[in-house]
Amino acid sequence: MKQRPLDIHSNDNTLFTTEQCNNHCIMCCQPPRKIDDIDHYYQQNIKRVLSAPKDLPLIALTGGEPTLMGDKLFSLIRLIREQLPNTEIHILSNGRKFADPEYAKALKLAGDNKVMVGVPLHSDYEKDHDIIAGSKGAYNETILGLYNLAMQGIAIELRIVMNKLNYMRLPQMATFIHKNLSFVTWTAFMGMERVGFADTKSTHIWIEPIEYIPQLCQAVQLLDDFRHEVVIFNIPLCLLPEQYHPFAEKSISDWKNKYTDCCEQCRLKEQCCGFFATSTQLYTGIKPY
Amino acid sequence: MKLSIDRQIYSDACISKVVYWLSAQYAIERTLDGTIETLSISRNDGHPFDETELRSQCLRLLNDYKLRQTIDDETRDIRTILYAKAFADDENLTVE
Amino acid sequence: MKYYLLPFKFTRIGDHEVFVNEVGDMLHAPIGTAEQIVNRTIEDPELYKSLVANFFISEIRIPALLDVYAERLAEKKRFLDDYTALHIFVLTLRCNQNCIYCQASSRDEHCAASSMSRENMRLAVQHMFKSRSQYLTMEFQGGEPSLEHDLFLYGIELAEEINQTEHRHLTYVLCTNSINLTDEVMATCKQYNVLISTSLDGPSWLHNQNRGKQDSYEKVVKGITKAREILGADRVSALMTASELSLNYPIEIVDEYHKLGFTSIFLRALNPYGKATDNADWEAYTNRFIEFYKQAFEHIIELNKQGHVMIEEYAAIILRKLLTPWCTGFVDLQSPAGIVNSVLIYNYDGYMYASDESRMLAEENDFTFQIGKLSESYENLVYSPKVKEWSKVWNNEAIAGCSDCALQAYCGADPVRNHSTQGDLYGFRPTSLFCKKNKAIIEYIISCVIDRYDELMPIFRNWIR
Repeated sequence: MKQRPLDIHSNDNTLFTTEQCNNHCIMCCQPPRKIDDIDHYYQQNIKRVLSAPKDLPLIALTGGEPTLMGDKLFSLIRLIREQLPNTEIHILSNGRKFADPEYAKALKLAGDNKVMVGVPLHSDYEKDHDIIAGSKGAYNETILGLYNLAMQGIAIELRIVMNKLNYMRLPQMATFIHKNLSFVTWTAFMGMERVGFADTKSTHIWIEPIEYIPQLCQAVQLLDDFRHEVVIFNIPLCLLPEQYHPFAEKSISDWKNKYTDCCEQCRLKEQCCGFFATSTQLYTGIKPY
Repeated sequence: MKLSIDRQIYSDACISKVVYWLSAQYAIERTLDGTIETLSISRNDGHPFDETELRSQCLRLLNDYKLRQTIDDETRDIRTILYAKAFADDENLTVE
Repeated sequence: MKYYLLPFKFTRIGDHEVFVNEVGDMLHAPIGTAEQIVNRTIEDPELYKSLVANFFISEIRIPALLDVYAERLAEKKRFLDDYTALHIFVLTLRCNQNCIYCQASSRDEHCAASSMSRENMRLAVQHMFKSRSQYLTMEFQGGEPSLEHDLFLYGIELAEEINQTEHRHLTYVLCTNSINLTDEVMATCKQYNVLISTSLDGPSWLHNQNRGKQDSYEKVVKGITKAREILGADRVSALMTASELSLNYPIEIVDEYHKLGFTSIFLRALNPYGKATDNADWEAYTNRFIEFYKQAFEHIIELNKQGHVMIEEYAAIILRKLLTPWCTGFVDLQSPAGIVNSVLIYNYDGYMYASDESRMLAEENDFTFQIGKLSESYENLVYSPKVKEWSKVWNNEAIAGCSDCALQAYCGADPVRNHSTQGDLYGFRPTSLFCKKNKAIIEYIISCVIDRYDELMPIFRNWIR
């Protein structure tokens, strides 16, 4: 995997840490591979951090699953904080490793208040989550991980990727988050990128956003009712009722963002997230405002 | 009014709970013959009352208390563990 | 189907069966579902998933997330960790009003006796700081506490002095009828950021009739205006108490609060203490109060729909218990009960009492809930044999009639009320009017949440915030 150079002007600066993952999410846009690549990327990332622009606002650690690096994750974070003291660090993790409270504690020690962990939750019901994550036991470890991160006072972004298997329970998930995970910094509801598994297994997983908008809006409303921060990623504004526009963010990384012909006449184009250039098909129901 | 209840179906505790709630309005005498308990029910103020209505109320209450009893019996241990965990000062959570 | 039950309670409200778990999370389903759950024949797969996700049933014997559930339970009972936070100082029984329902057995304002001595104030403030709570609320009551300005100021100054080294978060509340808010009293309130909690029963004719004075309303409104000008509108709140007469005027009372610019109202029933015990038929009163509450509540909803801010505080408390994962500090609806755990009373007579109602009973020569002399040590008072005895009956989880009630998580235990109305601390729920009133209103609020969700949630969410 070739890494793009770290660029102060980009909204997506990423350190890719490994292609391995202990989940096997059915809609993964970057399907994991079993290869021994941790040292390779680790050495590469050290060089990347050393040569990075000093005032980079944000750096993201992704994979695969970054926590599979074990303690190397903390050395990398320490290096980033030493070299780029003002840079926020965002780790995208399935959170399972943090079910070990010591591991969560070590992250706090290394990252302190500069680190945020983005953790996907696929369902409030264990077995649905495990099916989507492609791994038995994933749900329980993730939830315990979230609790241990919260106990260390680490900021958490909860990510819910809408798909055919979980959209029916989005309102119930919102209640679950409100009651059981009220400590998360914010919840992001994310439209799926139609590449990787999401595309190849599309009949099982893919659902047009227009079909889950009612459930999505109900879930967003519920969290907002109870004053939880909530955002919608990757859903073009023309698919959302207007009262939910304030929740939608321009979320798609600049390098893989695109607009279609009909977007050219839309007066909301500048505020809209548009589409994934990587997706194989456009959403149904799009129309210019 | 008399109501016969089989103690093999409804426990003493279930029947007692029904009697407890009815006793604000009714005087209830309990007699036991074998496994059959008979409740002799009359109103405290001596006024007449709708026996059919009271009978179905009693049966509904009995069924509810029987369900509650099952829930209690099956969950007593886990509840104890839950309260012990909640009010003992554990720092972190670990996988069981 | 194979799964394990977790502890939960159920009841029927309207066409629904309502299920409540150990932390007060609620699910509802059609009647007959409780039987399905217990018999392992749940038909609705989505309900099944919700029951698992929300700790009503478990697919393995010991749920893997039991620690998470325990953490949530600890949060709901967090008020216990907070120790005693509310400290009520009854400065005097003297009063400048003559309310028909006075619960505190107030005396004429010119009566010389029945005020707290400075020595007892000093002891009381010292006791307050013995509580380990980081948040201390010092509430001044009476009689009419503003008639004792010097003592009021002395109490605050003592607390401020001790707090130089203690560094607690102190809140002061003056419970006043607002008639005697002199410049002197206002200056003290301004200096120490004292909250004013006043009492207003409704329109002038109703208020004056309840107060037994011709011009009470006018004076109270003048006092409220003055307090708002000096302290800011957000520092002044009002409480109503529903006399028998008030029960006929739910709309008028709510409108009066709205007219005077209040954004919240607490629809409070009379408590059977003091002069209020003369009210003839408590059962009839309770039934009428429940109807009064619903009518006032619906009118408040209408005001909200018209875009006005008006919160009904009792409903807001129940809604927080029902709809949020957080602990709700309200001493009247708590288990373990609020007495001693969350509130202590320092009475003008030099004794510590268990609750506001306890000192009211003492005025009728019932000293059951007198804990002891303020000159005794805090430990001797708070851990006295008497208090230990009460602790056996202050959990609604463990008393008959409450222990299997589905509304337990939203309600509370009140041994003082049991004693005063039923003659024993334990109480008898089938005839308890405390039970009847709370059950009826909590069920009403639950049915609002279930049956009128889309209509009422936009309003309720503002109440909970």
